[in-house]
Amino acid sequence: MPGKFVSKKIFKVTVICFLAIGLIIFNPHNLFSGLRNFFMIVTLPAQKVFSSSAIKMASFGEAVTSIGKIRKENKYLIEENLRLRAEGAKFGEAVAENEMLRNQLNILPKDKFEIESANVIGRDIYNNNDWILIDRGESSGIKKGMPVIVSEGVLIGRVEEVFPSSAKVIFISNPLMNTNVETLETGAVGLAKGNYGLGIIMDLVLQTDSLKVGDKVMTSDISQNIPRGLFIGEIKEVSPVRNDLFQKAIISSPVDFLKLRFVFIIKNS
Amino acid sequence: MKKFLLRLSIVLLIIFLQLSFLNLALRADYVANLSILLVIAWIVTSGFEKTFKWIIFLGFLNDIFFADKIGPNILFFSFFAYLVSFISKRFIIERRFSGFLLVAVFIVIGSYLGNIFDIMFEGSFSLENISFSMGHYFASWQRVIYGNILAGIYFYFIYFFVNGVEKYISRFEDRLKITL
Repeated sequence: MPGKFVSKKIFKVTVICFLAIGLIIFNPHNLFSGLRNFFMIVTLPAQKVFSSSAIKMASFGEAVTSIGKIRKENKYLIEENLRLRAEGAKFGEAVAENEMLRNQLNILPKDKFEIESANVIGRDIYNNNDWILIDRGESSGIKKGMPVIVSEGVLIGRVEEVFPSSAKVIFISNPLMNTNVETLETGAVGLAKGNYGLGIIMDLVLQTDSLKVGDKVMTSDISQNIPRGLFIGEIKEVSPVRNDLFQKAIISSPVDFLKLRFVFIIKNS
Repeated sequence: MKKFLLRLSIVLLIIFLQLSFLNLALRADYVANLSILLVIAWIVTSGFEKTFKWIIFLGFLNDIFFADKIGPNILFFSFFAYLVSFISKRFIIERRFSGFLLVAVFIVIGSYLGNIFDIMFEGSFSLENISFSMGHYFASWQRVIYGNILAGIYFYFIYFFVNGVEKYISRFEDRLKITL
């Protein structure tokens, strides 16, 4: 009798597993896209309630944990301020360069592009910094492939899937996203791509091009649907492979993907 | 109908807590997968037979909300539910210490398998990528330890909640039988 019970269980699991494998292999996306849209629409109010509570809780937690640090930080900041004021004079040149870079960055969005703001209402289950869910979708004119930035003009990803009132945005650290980039300082061109939540890699850079730690990486004009000049990050590490045709670098993004609350979608890029 | 609605509410609550609450409220790099914990809690409290169809539904909703394709989470949850049921039948889960240990083992195995399935079925599938990503995942001891401790804490909340609901369902069914 127990033997019979176990085989019945195995039979059930095997049938379901085969069905699931069939679904994965044949991947009838259209068959389920309607269903996915339906679930996304029906559950959007609940998602908004949960996400706003989560944000309030996170802000409250931050405020509580920061109280103890404030006095310590204040003392440190007063000393730091004095030191920086003394050092400020030395960095006139760097300030001018920084100003130039800022100007280049400010060419970007706000006046040039049609931007739609969106709240983050969901996040990747495994927290690999791979994707988020936002509360703007087809009804707000969002389309697949539109670039997504944060307010400072930093590219964080692109719209991957659009639902009637929400959309899935994959981050630049997602392996599905490849972006043509160039460095601001030397003009070295390459391809920025994600590496399973491990960060952003600048790949396919010719050995003849120069890459330095600290170089600023921007989108280049040959990026499909992504406008030129969006900031991606700075080079953190260069790993030239001498025998290889190309060199690689690791890009460090200024954005903390885990802290994102609002994003902007460029609609007319 | 009441039984159906109660179990449906549990599934939806877990999905929303995961998608729009936990992953947003906690900014740490190690957030537990509540659905895996629910599968363990269900198998431990109500057994495989009673909950299997709900576990498939949970997998389906996970695919709808979290995955690109439909199927990976159904496959994973079915397999994992069987594994939990198979192992827990061979050990005495009611005993306090062995039960605790066994649940901890299930949580650790579930988290690892979940990550392996996620890497296998999302994005570009290649052995090089899988071995590289898994190496990175296991190399981060903080992620492994804190992630599993956190999952253990969540599990006991889920367990007591699910246990309460399942006991209520049993009482409700018994009352119905007596009335009939």
